[in-house]
Amino acid sequence: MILNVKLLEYSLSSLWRRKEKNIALIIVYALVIATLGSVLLLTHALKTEAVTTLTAAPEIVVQRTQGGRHELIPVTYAETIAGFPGVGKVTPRVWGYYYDSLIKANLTLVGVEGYHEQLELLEGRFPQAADECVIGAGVAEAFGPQIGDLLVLEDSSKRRSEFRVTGIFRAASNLLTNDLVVLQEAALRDFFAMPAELATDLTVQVYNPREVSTIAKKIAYFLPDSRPITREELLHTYDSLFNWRSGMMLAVFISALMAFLILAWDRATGISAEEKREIGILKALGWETSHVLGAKLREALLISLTAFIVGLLLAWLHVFVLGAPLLMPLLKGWSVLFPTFDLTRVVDLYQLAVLGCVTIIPYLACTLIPAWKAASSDPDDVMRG
Amino acid sequence: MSVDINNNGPLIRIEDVSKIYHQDKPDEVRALQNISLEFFPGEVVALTGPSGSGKSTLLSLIGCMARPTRGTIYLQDRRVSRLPESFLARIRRETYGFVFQQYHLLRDVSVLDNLMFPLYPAAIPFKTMRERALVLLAQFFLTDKQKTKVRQLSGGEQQRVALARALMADPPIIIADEPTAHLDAELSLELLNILAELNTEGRTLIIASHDPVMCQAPLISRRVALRHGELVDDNRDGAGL
Amino acid sequence: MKRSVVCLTILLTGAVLLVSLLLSAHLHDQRHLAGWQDKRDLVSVLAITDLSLSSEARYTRHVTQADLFSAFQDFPASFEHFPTGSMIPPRPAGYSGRVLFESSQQVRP
Repeated sequence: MILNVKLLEYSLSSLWRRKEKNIALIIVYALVIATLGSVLLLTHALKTEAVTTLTAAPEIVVQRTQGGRHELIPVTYAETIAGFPGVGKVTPRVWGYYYDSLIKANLTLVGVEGYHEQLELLEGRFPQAADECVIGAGVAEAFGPQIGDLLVLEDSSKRRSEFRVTGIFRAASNLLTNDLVVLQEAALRDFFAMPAELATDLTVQVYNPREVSTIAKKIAYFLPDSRPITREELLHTYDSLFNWRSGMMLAVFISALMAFLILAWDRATGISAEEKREIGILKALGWETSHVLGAKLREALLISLTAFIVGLLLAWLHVFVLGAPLLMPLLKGWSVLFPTFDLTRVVDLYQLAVLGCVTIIPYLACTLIPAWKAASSDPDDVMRG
Repeated sequence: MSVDINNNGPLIRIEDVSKIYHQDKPDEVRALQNISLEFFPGEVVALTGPSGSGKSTLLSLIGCMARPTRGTIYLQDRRVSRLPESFLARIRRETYGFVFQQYHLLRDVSVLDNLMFPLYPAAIPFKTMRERALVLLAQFFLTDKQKTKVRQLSGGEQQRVALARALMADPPIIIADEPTAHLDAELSLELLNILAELNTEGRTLIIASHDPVMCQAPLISRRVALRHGELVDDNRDGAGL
Repeated sequence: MKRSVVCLTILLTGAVLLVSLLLSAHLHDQRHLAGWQDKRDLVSVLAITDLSLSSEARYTRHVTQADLFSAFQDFPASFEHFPTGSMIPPRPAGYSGRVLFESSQQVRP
């Protein structure tokens, strides 16, 4: 115990004597951790958001392909699918895109049918007539309408259609509804000029989750021009999407990590003549190699733990308090209706542990190896001058 | 590991010791050849000889800083020449006080820390260590310099810090290598007084020097002369060479 | 002695702060189960399959719905050039579709 405290005391004195260098090192180190940590926190938060909310997505979505392209699906397919054992409700969906050339944004138009319970995340009410609509907060923000205002769209034949805004989705649901315009299904069919016997795709409810893939195979077998997408695939897509997004960001910042490692390597291998002399003197006066290494290990740990803690705190501040302003451009790309969203504060401890390992261990290694070399020198080098 | 003061036998016994650096390589150096010596408690030994004669090598062998290539070294009855590194470190810490020719102080460290750092591995409470250091600094008139960095001290002050450091563990044996090399006549005399005092406290002193002021000092009880790594004279009566 | 106490205190404070943040995230998550449920309700009512993170081309807006072999995009003139396609905007020309909102106060013609 006494030895531990005394070695720590020595390490602190040694760090303090080279404080300019060490403070600079901690700053660079902490920035590297903060950048990598921000990427991990951000993508993990988004992934969690996707994976948690989309568990309520339809078990199977059935698209139709023709000539290898997505085509509208005949509503009669729904009856075929509903006939399979284990399948609950099969609902035709109508949805599509609408491009606004002024702000260069693509809106997603979604049709809903029938009456819906009031939703917690909707301010106002669902459309109950053909000339009513509900819009996402992103749309409201981009175009500035309020509840009661009119949305005017031109369809493909330049015919003006007017819809009264009866509701706006709350900002908390931005990640799901930002660019949506929800109309009644009949109104949307009319607007898209889509015949009643066709739909964009079908959603299939499956009672037993274990039967999903069997039913998906069955659908593909009996309706060869259909392409079933299971919820499993959907979640998997999001998992890998954020993995490659985060992978790309990490690839950008890996250069920062490399630069840091070079710096650390340089600092560590270039253990100064003064430090070497000091180690030699202490060894001659009764320190063992293990004491020297213990002290150097404490120095390296102090530096890397400080940097790690400071870096993660910075990353937290950056991502969860400031909303990741430095990373958003990378995530956003050229997106016009990019949602403003509150990230769910979730952390993957495993990722942080990995981050700790890939930054702390190399640093410890490149500090300790040269120190060990210096420490295992003969004590009588001092006597010989 | 400490030394039994009441033991009347030799304190250090060196038997047929040789030290060869870079053995079997082109730059092989035979620093010491077949040396046998005994040192007794309370002696003040001057190791003399021109530079390159092996004085420093002999000191580092005695001080457990290096192991002999051949031969055996005993500290009282303990064979120390083949002990593992950790034991040697402990002996250096507790049995010997070293004063190096270049002082070898930590230049950017305060005087107080210079005294305490070498003893950190010892199981001595921090407070005791600090008190001991302050007593020694007072003894060497360095109390007002305790917070000063060694870099800012004069040569004489550095010499005194080096001596104070050597005494921190209250070692029975002091090993000094050319302690007067960087001192003027006045400071050399002052050093001799301090050394004499240490001897009267019962400590054994082993001093390598070719400075006549040191070698001819009345304090010296024995002179051992080396040349080309061989023992040429061992004068125990205190008579001149 | 003083130095190491100060230093360990600072380090420990930082660690405690970090751990409490992580813990608060966990608790926050527990407290907001209801929030998650609201979002799930929304998802199931609208049969949402994708996040509206990038509102443009189908391969970014409806990642999971994009067909496997398509070279066309839904955003006008947006040709996919993976992976930079999501970073560099296309330049559509000749599209005149407009979104127009009229205030409810205005008198309808």
